[in-house]
Amino acid sequence: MAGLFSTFNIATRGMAVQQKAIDVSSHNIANANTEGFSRQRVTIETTRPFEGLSMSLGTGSQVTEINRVRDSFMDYQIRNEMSTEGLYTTRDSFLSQVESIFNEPSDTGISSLMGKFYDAFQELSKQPQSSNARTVAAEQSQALADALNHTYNQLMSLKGNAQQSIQSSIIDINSNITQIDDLNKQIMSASITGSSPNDLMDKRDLLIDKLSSKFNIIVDKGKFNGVDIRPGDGTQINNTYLVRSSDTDDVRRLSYIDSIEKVSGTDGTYDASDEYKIVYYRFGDRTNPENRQEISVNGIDSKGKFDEIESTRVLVSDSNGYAVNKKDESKTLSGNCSYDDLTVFNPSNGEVKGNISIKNDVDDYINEINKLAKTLAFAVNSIHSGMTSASGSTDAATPGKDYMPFFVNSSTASFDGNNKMTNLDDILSAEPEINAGNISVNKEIIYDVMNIKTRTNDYKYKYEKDNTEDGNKDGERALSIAKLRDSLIRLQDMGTTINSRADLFDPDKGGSFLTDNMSIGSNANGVSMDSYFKDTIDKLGIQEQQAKRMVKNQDSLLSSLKESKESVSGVSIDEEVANIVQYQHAYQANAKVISVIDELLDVVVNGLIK
Amino acid sequence: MRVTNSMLVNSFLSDMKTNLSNMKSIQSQITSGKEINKPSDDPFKVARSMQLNSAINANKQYNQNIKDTGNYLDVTDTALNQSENVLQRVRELLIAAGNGTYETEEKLAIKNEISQKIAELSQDINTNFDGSYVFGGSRGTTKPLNEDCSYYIAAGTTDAAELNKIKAKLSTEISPGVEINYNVSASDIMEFTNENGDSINLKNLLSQIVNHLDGKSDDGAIADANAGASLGGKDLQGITDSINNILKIRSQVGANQNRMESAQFKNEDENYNLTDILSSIEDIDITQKIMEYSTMQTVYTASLQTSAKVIQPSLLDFLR
Repeated sequence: MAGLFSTFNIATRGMAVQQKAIDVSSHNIANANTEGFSRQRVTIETTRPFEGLSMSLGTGSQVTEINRVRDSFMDYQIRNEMSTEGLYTTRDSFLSQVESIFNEPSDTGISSLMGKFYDAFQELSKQPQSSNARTVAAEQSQALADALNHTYNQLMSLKGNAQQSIQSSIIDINSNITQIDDLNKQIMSASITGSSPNDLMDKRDLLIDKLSSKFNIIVDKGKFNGVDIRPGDGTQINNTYLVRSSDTDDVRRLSYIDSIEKVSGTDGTYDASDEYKIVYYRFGDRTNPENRQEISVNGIDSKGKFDEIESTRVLVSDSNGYAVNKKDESKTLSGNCSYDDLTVFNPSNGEVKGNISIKNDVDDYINEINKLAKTLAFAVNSIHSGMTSASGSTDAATPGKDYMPFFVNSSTASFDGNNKMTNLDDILSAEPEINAGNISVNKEIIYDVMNIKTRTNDYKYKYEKDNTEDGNKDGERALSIAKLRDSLIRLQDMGTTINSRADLFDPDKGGSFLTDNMSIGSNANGVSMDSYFKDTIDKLGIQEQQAKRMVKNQDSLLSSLKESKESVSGVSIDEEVANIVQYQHAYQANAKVISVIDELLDVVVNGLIK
Repeated sequence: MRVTNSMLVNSFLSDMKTNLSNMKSIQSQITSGKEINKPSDDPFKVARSMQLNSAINANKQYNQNIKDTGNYLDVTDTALNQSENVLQRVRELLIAAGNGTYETEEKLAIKNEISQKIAELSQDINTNFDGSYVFGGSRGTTKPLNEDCSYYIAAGTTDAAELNKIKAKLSTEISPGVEINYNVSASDIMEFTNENGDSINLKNLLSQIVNHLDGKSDDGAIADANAGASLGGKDLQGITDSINNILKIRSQVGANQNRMESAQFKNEDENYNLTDILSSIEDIDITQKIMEYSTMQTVYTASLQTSAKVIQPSLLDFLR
């Protein structure tokens, strides 16, 4: 008979169901502040009714499912926006460091040092006979050169930092992907049995969110609650899956290129036959020497191709970390290969892209101060010596080469114990390689300031002391150097079409003129050094302002998306407590039913037969 | 829309972040006194401010150049004045000596005085200002004249080269692209052409006068009976021409001095204008900023107070 004992069962089941519901609510409350947690709800359904006696009799309730409440479209939106946020946050943090390096507007930046340089030469032009004025001019020039050196060095080390960031990102990304893969497998094996591993899925979603801020990803749902993750773009191979729900081992990982060295071929040119030695570390992990892999690459026939490898620094590799061959994805790279076999990873969004784009931008800034340094060196040296070419002047009035160059390339120049130049010819041929990192004032001038050529006819003589034509109060040459403040020169072409002092005065290249062996006339298509530097600062300001603005926008966009997600998946303590009260009453009621049944049973068992 | 506790907390946190960052930027503007601290604050203003700063600094240098030139011209003028006085005295003496009644002793006395005057003239032309000889041209550390008003040429140097140095013009820049020659050279005073087109050498003239006072010929070689007549004749005319030459030079120097004064005035005016524009771009309006700051502070305090009341209570406080 479906008698008292079945009612017993109904009550027992009821209590168990309420208890489970309280368990789930208490789990929610315990995880109210857990990051990435989505609240879980029980689905309570009636058990199969007992069909008989021409009526359907209910048999109680059961918990059929414990689900997590989560909107996966919201997840997709949030991940997209997190990639953009990652990109601009990285850019913002590096660009504000570049701003501090330049330190403009201020009294101590390059702009005001340049003003002081011109002022010092103005004073020198009025008092060229005085060693005080000469010392000030030499020291002020050295201060300007030092500031350029310092800025260059700091920008280079910032570039190195950006590169370092890429490497630590790669290690993070790889470990992240491995964890996601593990969770994916656990989730799939749990789901096959029919249960819904909510907590594991929450963990996996959290890790995927973190991954999305590194680069843009596409997440597809697979069977048994598995996911397939691949990068949104950035590679040109077919199988780019990082995590898969089937064929779980046929996935990709990322490896980091540590160094690119040219082994054969001339420096500065790019030819398809040049050999480069590329060293990469599997998974970016440099702690284990077995991870170091070397390949030899040719076919890099343009600067663009070299820059792509140099700035992205990441290769897509197979699941063991060996770089994949782009032409035949089942093979890995080894030994000799060509540029077309390399699979560089160049995403369009995320922190990785942020680091890559920062390196490119810092390279641009380094280029601009290099142009400034070159222009300063070429212009001042040509006025100082009165010659348009450092060592091959055809002007018969001049000594043919510049015996006392004002600015020299400090990486080539060497001086003996008496601070005299020992390799003048090398110094002159190294003049085209002057850049912001190696520009410096000739030590012979610093230690003997009377070597500065300030007079009208100094261009005819090797050294200042040889000139007996001009009196020592003649400061015309110094005045010409001071007047560079307003000279317009084609700075824009420095380093591209203008590569040496002679190029500056070539009518097809620099288009400047050295009048009377003393002063540089303005080229109407040129700019002054001051305003070129200002343009660089302008560009920096606008880029950083844009990065800051984007970070702010993304922040507010993300916080409104996250609020929507919270609204759906977040735990409301009040709600859970109210639910617990509800389940508590139901539990108590069920328990009461049991005690009633107990009394009834007592009547039946003990009371019916005396 | 379902609202959870953590939504309230999160929204409080993000608004707090905005408030605090606004307060931080206003605070840094007040403490530095400038609207812009980094290029990213306002790139256009920073560009303008850098440009104005460069212009103001360049202007300061030109101001210094103008002042230095003005001083040099003042010293030149004083020296020319003294030279003119010397020549005036020589002229008086010549007029007296040209008087045929003077005897040998008087002529000797005049000759002594004129010899002294020659030395005084050379001393005036050897005026030194701030370490350089004002009339020395580009040969600034060597005196231009000897005691007898001939050019001082050191041993081992050629006359022609040294003379070129004395004649050299010195120039300085008083505003972008504008240079002026500011010096007078000793040769402008000692060698010149008079209004009839004759070229006159003052040193030769003076030694000629001394010879004539001795009763000798122009070069002092032989006795000349007409020496006395020349004193009142061509010698007097030569001295008068020399005085006129100095006056001419002085008027040029005077014109340059006026030019320096007006250049200085213009320079200072420009400096004032540039500084004014710079200030309007860079500087904050203290009153406005402090009011903005108070408003921000009020908003901050209000948000703290309200949020404290909202995020604290929950259902558990009220269940028994």
